[in-house]
Amino acid sequence: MDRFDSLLAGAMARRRLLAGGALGIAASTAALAQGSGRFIKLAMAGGPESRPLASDFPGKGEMIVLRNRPPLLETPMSVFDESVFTPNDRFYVRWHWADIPLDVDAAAFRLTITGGTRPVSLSLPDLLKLPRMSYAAVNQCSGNSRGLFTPRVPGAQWAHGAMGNARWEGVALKTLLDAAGIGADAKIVGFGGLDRPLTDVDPFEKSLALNHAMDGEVMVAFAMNGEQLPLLNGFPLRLIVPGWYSTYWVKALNHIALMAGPDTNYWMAKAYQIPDTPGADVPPGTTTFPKTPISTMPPRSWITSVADGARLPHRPDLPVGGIAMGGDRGVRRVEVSADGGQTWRDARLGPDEGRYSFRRFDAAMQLGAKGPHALMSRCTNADGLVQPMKPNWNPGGYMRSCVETLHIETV
Amino acid sequence: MRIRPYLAALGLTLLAACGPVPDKAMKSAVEDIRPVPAPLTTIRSASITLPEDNQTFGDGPDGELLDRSCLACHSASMVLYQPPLNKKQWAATVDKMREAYGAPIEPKDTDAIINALMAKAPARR
Repeated sequence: MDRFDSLLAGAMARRRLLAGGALGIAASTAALAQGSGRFIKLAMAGGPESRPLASDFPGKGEMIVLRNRPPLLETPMSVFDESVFTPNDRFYVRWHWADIPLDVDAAAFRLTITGGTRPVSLSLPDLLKLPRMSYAAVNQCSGNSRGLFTPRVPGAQWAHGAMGNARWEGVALKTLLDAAGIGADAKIVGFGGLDRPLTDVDPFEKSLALNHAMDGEVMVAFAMNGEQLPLLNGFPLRLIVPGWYSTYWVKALNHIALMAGPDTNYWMAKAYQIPDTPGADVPPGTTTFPKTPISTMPPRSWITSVADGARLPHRPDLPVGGIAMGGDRGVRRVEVSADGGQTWRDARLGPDEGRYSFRRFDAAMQLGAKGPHALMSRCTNADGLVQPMKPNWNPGGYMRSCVETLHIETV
Repeated sequence: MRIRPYLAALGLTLLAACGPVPDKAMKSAVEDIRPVPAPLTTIRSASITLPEDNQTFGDGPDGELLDRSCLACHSASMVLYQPPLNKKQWAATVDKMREAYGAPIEPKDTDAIINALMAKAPARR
């Protein structure tokens, strides 16, 4: 029995535990949900909208469970209202392959670097002795908010919670690559981790251009918000690529390779491809277009102090707060609108925790009369890039960044 | 990119100078200024056990076929939380699972799996 067979046997054994349960879709998504028995409704056209909340994933508080194996855990929006830093125990989780690291021996672990002028193998204590860096950066899944695409597209049906902001601490990738020695033919740097597919296909590996890898900002992190990384978020080491989507932030990083390229691995050459158009936008239904690997994040913002669909006592000036991100640049400006985007006024920005961090904003919404209101926020980053009103569309459900609308009613 | 105390104080001064401030806003802005955590000194071994996942696609030949074809690599919820997909979209998904992800699907079973998804998963007929 190989590893695949044993995993399959495990899945079948779990299934047999449920002998006799006649389950339709509604019953199986509801009655058998993990954890707390609590549910959250995520507004997604055409459904399904109900997701279980669970607190029984190790090291995690209450999370929205999109998938148990391999875990897809979404952060509830209310968490983002508490602080611009997302606590480790509420930080979203996303793994691709079924065989994820669940048990890592810190003494035995090694990070290896191959393809340089000398091979490098570093223990965790070795890494802790090297010069360090620390900064705040937003980690956002390429498919964050995919469930809001219209028309809908297949894939993990995230609302907005496949993102988080943490203070990362570690060693500059440049320091490690310099130690390995960069040969004349090196053009790209590849990254692999401890997770493994069960089948004979490419493991999850990503790569960056050499000049990007050597920019002094890309980091091999061993700490997240002052603590060692949770296993579910990539213990013991994670690549931090600030300003870029999370697909590059390889978890449980244990191997780095200097390569001549090009990278033909599935996860660079076929997956995570976006239309090579502004905002990764093509007309809905389009399947053929020039493609490019997803890379930098555009600005986004969310009002977090009020829940979508809320009914509130009326007041002419409704205080609201939220979070904004500039993407690969800082946040320059956040505006808010209480009339569906017809008029805008500036929000006040909270402290600047760095160009890659979430930034708090606060404003008073001028509501006029009682009734329904469409509340919006709009971020402009330091490059002058502004969130568009029109949602983008692509078949992968990547890179949503339009102005989001909260529908509330005051009574 | 540490927030030094004087910058934090400057930020508060500026906020205070901005006139009427919503109660919530002032509170949250203050809370957001937090000290940079102390540097990590040690890394300890880690081990976790994931919660059980007992969800299946249900009884009958369609459920059993989907259990057999899908559950080795991922939970049933990945399928059951998809938006309503039409037959062409489910067919494309099955092809992707077999070709790109090496799913244990016999080519002869492909049509039956697509029909089972149309019956058991969110579908647009």
